[in-house]
Amino acid sequence: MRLVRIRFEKTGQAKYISHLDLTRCMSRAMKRAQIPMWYTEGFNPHPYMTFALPLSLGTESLCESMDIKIEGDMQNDEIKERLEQAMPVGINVYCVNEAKMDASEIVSAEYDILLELESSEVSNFFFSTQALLGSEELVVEKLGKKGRQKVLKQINLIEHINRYEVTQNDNGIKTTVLLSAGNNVNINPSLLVEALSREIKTQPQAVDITRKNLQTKSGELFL
Amino acid sequence: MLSKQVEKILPLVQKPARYTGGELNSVIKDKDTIKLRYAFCFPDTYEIGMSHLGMKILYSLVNERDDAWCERVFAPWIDMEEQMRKNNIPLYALESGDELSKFDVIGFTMQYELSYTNVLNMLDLANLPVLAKDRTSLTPIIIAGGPCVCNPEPLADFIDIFLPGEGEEVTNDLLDLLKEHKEKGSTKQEFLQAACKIEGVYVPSLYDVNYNEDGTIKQVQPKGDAPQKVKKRIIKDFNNVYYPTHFVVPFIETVHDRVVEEIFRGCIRGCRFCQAGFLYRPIREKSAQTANDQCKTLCKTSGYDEVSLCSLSTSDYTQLSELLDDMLDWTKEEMINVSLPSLRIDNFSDELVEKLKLIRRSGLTFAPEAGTQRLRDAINKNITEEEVLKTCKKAFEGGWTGVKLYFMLGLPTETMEDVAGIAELAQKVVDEFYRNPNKPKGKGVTVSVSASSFVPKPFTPFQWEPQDTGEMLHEKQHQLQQSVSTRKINLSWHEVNTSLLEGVFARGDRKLCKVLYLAWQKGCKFDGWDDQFHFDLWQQAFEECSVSPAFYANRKREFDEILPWDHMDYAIDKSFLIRENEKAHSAVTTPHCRQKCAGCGTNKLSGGKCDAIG
Repeated sequence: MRLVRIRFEKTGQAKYISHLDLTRCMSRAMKRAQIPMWYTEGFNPHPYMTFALPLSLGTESLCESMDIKIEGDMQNDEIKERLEQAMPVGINVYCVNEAKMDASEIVSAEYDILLELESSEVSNFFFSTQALLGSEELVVEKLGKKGRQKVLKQINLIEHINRYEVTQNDNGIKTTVLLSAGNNVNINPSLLVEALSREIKTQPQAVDITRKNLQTKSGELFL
Repeated sequence: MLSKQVEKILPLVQKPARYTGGELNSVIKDKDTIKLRYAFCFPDTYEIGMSHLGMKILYSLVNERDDAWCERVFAPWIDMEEQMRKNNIPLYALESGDELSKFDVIGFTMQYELSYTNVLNMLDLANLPVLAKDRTSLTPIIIAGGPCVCNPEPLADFIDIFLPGEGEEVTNDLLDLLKEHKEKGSTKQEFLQAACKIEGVYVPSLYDVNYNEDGTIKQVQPKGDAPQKVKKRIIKDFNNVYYPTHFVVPFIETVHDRVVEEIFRGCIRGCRFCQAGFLYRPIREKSAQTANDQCKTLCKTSGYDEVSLCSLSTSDYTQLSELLDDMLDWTKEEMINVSLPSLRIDNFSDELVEKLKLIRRSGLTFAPEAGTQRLRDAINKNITEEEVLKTCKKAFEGGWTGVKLYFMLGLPTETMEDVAGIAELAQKVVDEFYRNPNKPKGKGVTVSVSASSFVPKPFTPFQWEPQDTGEMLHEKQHQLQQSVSTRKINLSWHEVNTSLLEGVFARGDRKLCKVLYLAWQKGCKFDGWDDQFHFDLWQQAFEECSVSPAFYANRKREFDEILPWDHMDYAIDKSFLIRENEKAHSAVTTPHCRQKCAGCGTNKLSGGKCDAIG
């Protein structure tokens, strides 16, 4: 039995596959590709499969990571080749190798957030965004869990933004941002969009979010 | 291919993957090479439509043609419809993202009466006139098939062509004809006149219906070359019938999310309430080898880890044991589960139980349908209480701790004694569990009793029977509730008004078209969903059209009345149905088709051949 890390992009239409559905989709892809999966040995055996960091529905990603366990001696190259044939449109396997780091080492994730705006709104939105990201506080409310109860939590997003860059063009603005991520705090980038639209009192016409990479505490890329 | 406009509204709706397409094995073709574009519509949600085997078969069948491209369309849920209307996005097909008005054929499958309003709503969402007479161009031509079109009359004003019977052959015949007429530049009328000559094609606009003063039908008069009776189409050689090699694999979980293999069509049992048991005759089996090969292929191409055998009564398949042996050979190794729905109580053999043990255990469901032997005899559900209890005993010994029992309320000849009998039978099943000396420690038993309301359907021996009124059904539900004295029995039943509406449309005529139209205009859709069902709006629609629902649902018909579906020929002899009806009223059973041919007449469709009698 051998642990294998599969890294893939999830773009285009595939961004509408929810995390739960992705699990099912992947286990079917493994079957179609005839990857010799290792099954858990419980009463109800299922293939071992775990994801580094779930992705929100509607968000694209260039850096998804999934670990599986396989039996036998199928090589990484062959696994990659077989999976490429078996994946639905929008899921692109670009690397199959050994797991170098543990998913618990992930502390942040970098996103590109594209906001489409009326051309008359662009410059106001651009300068306001810069001002808001440079301020001390940008609070959003989020439904969180406290034990078993669901409670409304206040989150100051500024505390979770480790780095940002804002640019503008005719159709809108692009914000590249490094947000806290991982098992402990995981900030959904759509919260930032929500806060900006609320403060600037302008609703973007379209929102396009892409996760670009996952990073560890020392700023290394998650491998 | 999603349009930018659609992309903008997707973040605003639940389960966006219902509306994106792009699933594995969905078929994309080059539009420029295509002569015919076919939009296959299922008038309910994605999750339900994607579970439907008929759609999978016809989708692949049409896509086998180089000149045609078949795409899928489902009814958008309320939230999506709201966004589509608000943003002027017409209903589109999932594969190309093109709007429906660009298609040549728009085909609906009519699986249940409560989806009728969705057909109107989908046409309207596509910016197409809902009434057939208002659509004057040749294309898109609107067609409909499926079990409900055995009585197509309540939909006659909306649909151009109905296809009664099995679709595998007639679909291609019709597409060939349309292609020819499209190239010729024919009018819609010219095409319809030609289409009605194909066997298994019914063009409702080519028939005049006259009524008697009491509202019953006086005469159905075909115009021009239209046949007096439209014969349903069937597949004669079922072993070699087309079956898909690929299923579209959905991302979101659907109702039946697995490989499905159809092992035979028809049913030998002849339960008098069951429409499917008569509509799909004669019996035609697929060989175990063919079925096994098809299962293997589909598992390979889909990646599913479950395969289910499909038919009206799985344990009546003569090669079941052989097929299971063949399948268990490879499914075990590949970690694939086999599931067997529709098993019967009376031939649940020890051998079968042993094989089922190798298969992942799922729920056990039995359908005694009625609470007393007298009523079970009347409906020809040929199983005895002894058999029910014996089977439950076997199941309990095999480790099961829950059983689901299906019954119907409102069956013809039913008395309050029969209703109480349901509770008594369920109690005996509970007792059977506690009689088992090896019952699992610390575990109780749950017997779930589901009591639906009986709806008389066309082409069954009960097609002349009055349906119980809402009042009577409520009374019977109450009686049943009173008769249950333990919490180990879980009771559930159906909404009475839903069954009433189903009953009206199942046996309705063309006068219902305007009711349907008005109810839809008032906002009725997704009537099969309890939370979307507005009976008050339906009542208003009936009143405003001066149409009485009781005339259709609760009226007893005489055997000599002309029924709205009498010009549909499903090859079942009326004399056979009358014979069966009379036997029901004296609680006399009919042996199943393998014991003795009951002479239903359907074997004339297959040249006298019926797999029930070899």
